[in-house]
Amino acid sequence: MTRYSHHRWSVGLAATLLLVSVGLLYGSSAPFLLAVVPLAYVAYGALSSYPEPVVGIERSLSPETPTPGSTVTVAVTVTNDGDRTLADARVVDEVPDELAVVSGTPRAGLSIPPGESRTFAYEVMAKRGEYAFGSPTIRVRSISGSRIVTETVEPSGASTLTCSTTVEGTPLERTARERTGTLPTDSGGPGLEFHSTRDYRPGDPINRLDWRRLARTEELSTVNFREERATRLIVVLDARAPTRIAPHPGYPTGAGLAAYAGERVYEALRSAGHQVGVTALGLESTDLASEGRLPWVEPPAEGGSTAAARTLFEAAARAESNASEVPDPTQRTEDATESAFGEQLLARLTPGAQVLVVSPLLDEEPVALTGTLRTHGVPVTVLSPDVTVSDTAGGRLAAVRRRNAVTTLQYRGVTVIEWPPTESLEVVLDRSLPAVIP
Amino acid sequence: MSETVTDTDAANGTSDSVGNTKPTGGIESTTAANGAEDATERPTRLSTAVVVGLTLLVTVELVTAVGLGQRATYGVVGAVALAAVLGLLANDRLEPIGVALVGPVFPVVSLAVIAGAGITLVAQLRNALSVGSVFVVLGATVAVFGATLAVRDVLSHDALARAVAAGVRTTVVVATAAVGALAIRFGPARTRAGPVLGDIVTWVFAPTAPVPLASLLALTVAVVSLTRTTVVALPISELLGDRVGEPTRARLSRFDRALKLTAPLALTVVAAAVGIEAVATEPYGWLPGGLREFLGGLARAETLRLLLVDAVVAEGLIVATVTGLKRAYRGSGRAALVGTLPYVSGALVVAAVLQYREPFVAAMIGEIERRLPIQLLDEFRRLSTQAIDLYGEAAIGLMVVTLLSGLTLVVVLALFVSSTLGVLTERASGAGLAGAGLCLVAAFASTLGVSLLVALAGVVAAFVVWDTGTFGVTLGAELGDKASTVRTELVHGGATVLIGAGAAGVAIWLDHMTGPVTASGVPVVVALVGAIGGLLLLAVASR
Repeated sequence: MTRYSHHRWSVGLAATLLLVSVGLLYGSSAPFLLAVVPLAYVAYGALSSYPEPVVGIERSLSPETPTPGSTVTVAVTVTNDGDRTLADARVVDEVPDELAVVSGTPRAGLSIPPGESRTFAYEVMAKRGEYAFGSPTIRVRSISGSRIVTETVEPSGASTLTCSTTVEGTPLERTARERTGTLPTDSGGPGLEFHSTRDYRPGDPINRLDWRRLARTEELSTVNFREERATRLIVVLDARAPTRIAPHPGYPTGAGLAAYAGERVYEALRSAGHQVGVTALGLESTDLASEGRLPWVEPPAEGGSTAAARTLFEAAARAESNASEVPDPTQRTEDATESAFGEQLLARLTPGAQVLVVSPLLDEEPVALTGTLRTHGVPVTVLSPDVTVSDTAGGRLAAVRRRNAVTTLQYRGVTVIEWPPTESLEVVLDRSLPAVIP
Repeated sequence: MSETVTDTDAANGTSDSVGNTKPTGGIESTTAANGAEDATERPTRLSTAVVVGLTLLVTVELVTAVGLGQRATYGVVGAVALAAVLGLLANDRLEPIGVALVGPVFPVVSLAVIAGAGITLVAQLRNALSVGSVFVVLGATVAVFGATLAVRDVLSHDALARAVAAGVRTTVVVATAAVGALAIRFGPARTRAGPVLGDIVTWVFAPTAPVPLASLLALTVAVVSLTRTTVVALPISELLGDRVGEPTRARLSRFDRALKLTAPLALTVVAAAVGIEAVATEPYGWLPGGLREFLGGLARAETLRLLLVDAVVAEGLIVATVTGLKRAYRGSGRAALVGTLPYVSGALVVAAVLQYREPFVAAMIGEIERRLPIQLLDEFRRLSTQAIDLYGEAAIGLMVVTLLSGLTLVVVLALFVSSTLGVLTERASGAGLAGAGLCLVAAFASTLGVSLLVALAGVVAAFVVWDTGTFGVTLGAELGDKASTVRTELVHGGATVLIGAGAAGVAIWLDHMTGPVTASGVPVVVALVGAIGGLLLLAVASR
């Protein structure tokens, strides 16, 4: 507790001196009578005593386990447990530096009668991870404002904001075909859906013989069904330096949102029985990669573990930004035609694999990578969180460049799933994923 | 739980010398990187409304009650103008507008205050007004000045520093113009500069010497030198890029080096030619006749000389433009604008004074004559006519504007020094000035026949204005402008009003109890001694 005495009402002495002097100079009684007023104020300040705040503070978060990019309402309730009114109580909640306040303010000026409570609320933008709130500071002034007591109060209630990335609902479960984990192909073979017929070859299973044709023409033929294979999808996270930009201080970065979206897709597809692997661009120099190669987590059937995938998502989300590596949005770059990561990625992909690029599309590299993959016949889909803003000239330019990248991709026939900041990722995936993963 | 007791100095709110410190923590500032706090430290809206509204209301009431409304209005106009300029200067975005306005506004501020307070003083000296009237006008001016500044609490040290810098530059421009006008008026410049300029023009364009080689050589050297400077200044190298090969670059570099080495030789030749033409009775007589005639014809060719002079002017303009553009590009354009605008503003003021010098001086003299006692009128007319004949309207107009601008500059400088020394606190100084001005008005108005009730209302209002203003500033600084503070302000302000009302009630009761008191009576002496003694005791007690 800090106690602080401010003799602000002593200015009344100067006013008294002025009035007494004027009274003396002019030989008038009125200024002497006027001097009663400043003297009263001087006495008011001098007689003021220190307030004795006895307060309890409770903090609550709603929702308690938010997802990245969502807003959390923080309500702070201040209760005057003392027996005197707190005429001027100023409360400041200690918001973690990493979290941005998007609505309201964590500061409040309150007047609280004894035994009563006052509540103020504000909203913060949730980011992946755990963030501990500090203890609120309360400053109480006497009614004259000349005695000030400041103290830090340990609050009850919520003290940590935990931003969960767990998948509460898997949109794929609602949208997937009846038999999960299958991907229909154009090649004929065993399966359910009729594809074609061909001449019988010795060794063909008897249940695939075309009995009707045999009865009609007495010739043996074999029925081919549409072959179905398990989906093999590689999620490519874009966590390079240019993506580590946040629209505002305290907001999640493009890489962070890409990691969150990638993780949700990974969890959804994995739980639906698909074979999903993960890689990340921009983490070549970390411990997760060897010899500058792309970090890689194989699908579960090929030895990849879910824990390794989560570690990769964590690393991508926490990739630190470096201002010197962020491209200047006002500098026009040449259209990239060759991707620096394309060759590495192609070398690791197995035939039939699909790629889902998760990127905020803030530069040309994802477009080039997509072009390289499509040139080699790899089906590609892009999932793009939007972190551009329109309140600055640079932000508007970045938004235009992102829009150009999306248009370019769509022009090339790539499905682009856009995740605008105002929409829930679950809704976006629910709406768009069926078009990508049948 | 640790506890620190801190005592602050009442005047400036800083820590005392015992070593105690002000409390620290998140409540001290409203600025943070994550937007958790507001980036601005503005006073609350309610406090601003109270300071402005109450100050205007009580000031109008008091000055109207003593019959000084019109005179106070002049001063108030000047105060509002100065406060508006300071407000613009305090805002980084609007600073250029403020700097540009310093030139025309500074003289107007002084003129308005002189029209209000100065004329009131003259009237007071002539016994046309009661003694103390001038302080009422000055108090009203200060009160409104402070209330206007309290709108965003803009009376900062930075704003005052900017005002001083811009004011000095503008005043220097006007003063220089005044000195120039006086110099032209009093001859030395006009009588001496004319022939000198004429000789130079003749030497350059139409030399009378039979072989005027010196001027031709001087022009040629100037053209060559400026051509080199222009080539260096232009971004030719950047534009050509790799299209110029290394051998060409090396050759150009060698040529440039040779040019630089020959520069002293060329200057020596020019100096020698000037010397020969100045000293010798028959310059270049030692040259063969044919060559001398050829050189004479070449040197006297007017077209060639015009061409060289045109080249010098064109290249000079190119160099100046390119250099200016480069500086603007490399440096901050805004800083260059703010640095240049006061001079432009001063030049515009000079141009306006020169354009309207006659009506300006006539109006000024007419206004003074209108206010002078009749017995001084003839003498003033004689003196003013003599002064106009001697100095001319232009010089008089410029000197008056310099004086007016300088007066406002002195006031701003005084505020700046006060701010530097800590006399004028950085926060809530507007509310402080408003309160002080109101108190001054109420004090002197009470001696001019205003009813005790109105005067008491003035003093109470002065404290309410000051208290609400300073309180609102601390609320704005600690909580930002997003937090709801109205309830807290109403509770605090209500208590201040109640204390003032109670004190006013006591004063009225004392007035009824004691009745009219004369200054010569014995009870007054006792009361005075008691009041001063009480004052000293309070001062000691508060320490």
